[in-house]
Amino acid sequence: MIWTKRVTARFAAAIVCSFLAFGCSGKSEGYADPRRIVDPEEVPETKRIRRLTADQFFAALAVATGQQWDDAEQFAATLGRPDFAEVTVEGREMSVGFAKLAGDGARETCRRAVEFDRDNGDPASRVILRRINDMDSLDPFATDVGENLRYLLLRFHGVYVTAEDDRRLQPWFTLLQDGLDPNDPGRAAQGEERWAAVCTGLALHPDFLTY
Amino acid sequence: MSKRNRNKLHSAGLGKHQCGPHLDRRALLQGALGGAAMYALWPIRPLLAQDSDGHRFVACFLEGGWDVLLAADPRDPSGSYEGIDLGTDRLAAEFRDPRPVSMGGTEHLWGPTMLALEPHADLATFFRGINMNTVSHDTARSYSHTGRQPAGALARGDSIGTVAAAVHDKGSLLPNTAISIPSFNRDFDNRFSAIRMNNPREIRDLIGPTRNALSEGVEGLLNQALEDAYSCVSPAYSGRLPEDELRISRDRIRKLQEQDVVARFDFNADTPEMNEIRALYPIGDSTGLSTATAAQLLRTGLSTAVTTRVRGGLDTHRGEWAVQQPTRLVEAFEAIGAMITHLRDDDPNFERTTVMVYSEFARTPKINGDGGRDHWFADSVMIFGSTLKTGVFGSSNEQDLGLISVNTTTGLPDEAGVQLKPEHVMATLVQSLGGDPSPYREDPLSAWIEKELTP
Repeated sequence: MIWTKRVTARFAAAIVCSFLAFGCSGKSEGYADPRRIVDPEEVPETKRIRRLTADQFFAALAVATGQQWDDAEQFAATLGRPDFAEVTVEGREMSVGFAKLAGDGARETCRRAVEFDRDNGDPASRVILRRINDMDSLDPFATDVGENLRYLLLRFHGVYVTAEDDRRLQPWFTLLQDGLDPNDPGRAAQGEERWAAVCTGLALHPDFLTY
Repeated sequence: MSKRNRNKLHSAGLGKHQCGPHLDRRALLQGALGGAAMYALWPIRPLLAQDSDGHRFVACFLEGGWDVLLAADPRDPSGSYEGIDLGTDRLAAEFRDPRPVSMGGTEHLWGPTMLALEPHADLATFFRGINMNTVSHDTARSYSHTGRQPAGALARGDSIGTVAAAVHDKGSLLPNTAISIPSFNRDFDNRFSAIRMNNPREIRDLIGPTRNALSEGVEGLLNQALEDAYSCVSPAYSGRLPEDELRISRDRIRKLQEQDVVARFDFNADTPEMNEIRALYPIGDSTGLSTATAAQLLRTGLSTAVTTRVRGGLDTHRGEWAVQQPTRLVEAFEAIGAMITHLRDDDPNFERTTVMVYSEFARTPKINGDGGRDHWFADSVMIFGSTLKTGVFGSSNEQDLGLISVNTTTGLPDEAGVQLKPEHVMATLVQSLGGDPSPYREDPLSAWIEKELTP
């Protein structure tokens, strides 16, 4: 190979690109996870994280949202439920089919759950909006929004978040409030849909879908 | 590195997840290697981009065990066979006489149910007298799907559709699809695991619009939230991270929805394409629906490999054999014939298409006391394509449909030859498709490979 200026420049660009790619792959905020990072090769097969089976997903969705997914049985086999005649192994791939159908199921149950809560005067029996006080406006900027998000994180992911500036809450605050003006009186019109979106997002999060 | 090896599971490295910026020696080395790989690939990138038309593969499964005497391995009813009862007097007139069909310059008998496949004899390779080594449905299904002897009924190999997708996929959105049939992936990357549908109608749910969708802006925010959400479980995950897999799947769903291909699967629509499909396929029943869906998955470029259960109900142990076995075979072959015709529209000589037709085993040559046929070892496989020599390879015993040894070069009976096994057929097919035949642990039948594709 003839070592020309062009070749040198291309090689240098390739190395710079590769370092940039690695720089982007980590979390830039420097979040310090207190746990030891486990090399995947060290994790025994029996302890590796697995996707919920179809039936586990249906049950988890029903518990978390309080609503049954109407099409669960129709899509059970496609989501990986074995028939124990031909298929004896649970399907656990995070496939396109799973992502699409789980998304459909999460949206259906979450919409119904928020509607149910909205009509429910007893906070203790609400499922998604349990910590929200003003059920008439569902203001995404209300002071109790953070508390409700922390409750939902505990309900869906089993994560007890104590601080409202915890980074794990940030995407859900954004989902609730982004694009809305806190001073606009019409901001609450989207409240119900935004809370349904938060519920859907939590149900499609890897921490909900894996164990 | 071969394509097969490149597509095999690589868990090391993929499972690494850092919670903060982390650049250790391994990362530096990987970065340097990545850069070198980028540099090496740079000059050939335009060539890869041009090679976008991958080979298409369909496997059509007939469930229950087919009667090969009515299909791929018939006998002339004018002859006498000491170990075979052709049951001619029990069959309707149209199912009594096999038909001579020219394959690779030689005339061979085709079963009376295979009329719909005759126009495609120029593409046909039949393997006869394959020893399935079992008469248990579950075991034979796993064996026939993978070409490798299962452990009990548990498949040990990869489904042939998985292998074909892994060898030839060039980034399609649903590389490997399985309709009403299980699919196995033991050795390849997750992206080649089949997207399973319980029935062909579900394709519209899989690729169609999101149900109960939120407003467009909120859907966008939801997607962004899922992109940004931090997963606590990832550090201990082996293999590709769950959030990465979900991200890839969400991205594919978005692309599917943007392409709006769901209309290409609305077989009741009043459009020129759907009118043509309805005229071609028996779309009113599941056989036509499954094969039409398979063809559309390939024609739209959504999939590289499709495996579909075309017809069940072939397990005819009693008197229903005389009516149900031939009529169901006809239904299946008409649907498969329509699919081949459809696929030949844009690939007349199957230069980039292969269709395999198979069942878990055959049925006994003798009719039992209940007027039906039981399970039998000596099976057949039909392949339509251009990678294998056309004609018939192998043979069952002319007198009793038993297993005999054949010459691995000519495919003719030869006492010094070998008994044909599914491993031979799969190794040959996989080698011709450009894959690695070594997992089958039998030498491919090289003399019958017309051409070997390059992945």
